[in-house]
Amino acid sequence: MKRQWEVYATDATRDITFLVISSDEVNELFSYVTVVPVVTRAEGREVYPIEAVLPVSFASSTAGRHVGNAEAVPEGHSERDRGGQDGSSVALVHQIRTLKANRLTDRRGAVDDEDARTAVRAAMTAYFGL
Amino acid sequence: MSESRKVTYQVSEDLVREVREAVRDGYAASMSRFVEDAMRARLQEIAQERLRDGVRRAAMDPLVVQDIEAVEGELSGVEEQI
Repeated sequence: MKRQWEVYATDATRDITFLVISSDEVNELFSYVTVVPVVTRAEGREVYPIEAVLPVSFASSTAGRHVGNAEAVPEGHSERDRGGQDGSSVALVHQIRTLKANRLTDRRGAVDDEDARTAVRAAMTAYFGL
Repeated sequence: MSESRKVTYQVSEDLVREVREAVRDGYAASMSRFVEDAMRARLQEIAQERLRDGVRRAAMDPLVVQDIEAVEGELSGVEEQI
């Protein structure tokens, strides 16, 4: 089962990862999950109220990271591999999708940090006007 | 709600008179409550204005458009299979 706050890539995607935001109660019973696409933050990229910064990259070169766990950079990877200009990613809440859960095949990590989760929740509140 | 404290601002006599009348007519429990409610309402408006401005700028930001196109491009195969 895919769990809320886990980050996955699909077989078809390479640079984009997906943060599962549907609740585990839903994820357990439905064959679909709702996700927010996550991209590496490009240099100079501003982050808007309908987006959230995640302080780690989940791109393929940094697979397996957990936001907030402060894991060391794996051997063979430089600090640059952590992601964009400052090693961060952007959760594109405005690009929210519902996908078949079995399309998410490659677990890249999870967002464990409560501040990052709060930022995602705030962006969702702004996006949906809740 | 956080603790309240006394503050001093200058407002016009006319405005004070109107607010007093409104409080007297029962539209607020007190002058303080009226002012606090008005401040909260304005802050809520400002938050909405900030959101609107942020969304407008996001929609016009080429780096955001680039990210959206990347998502659409990478998801085209995946979404067709739903």
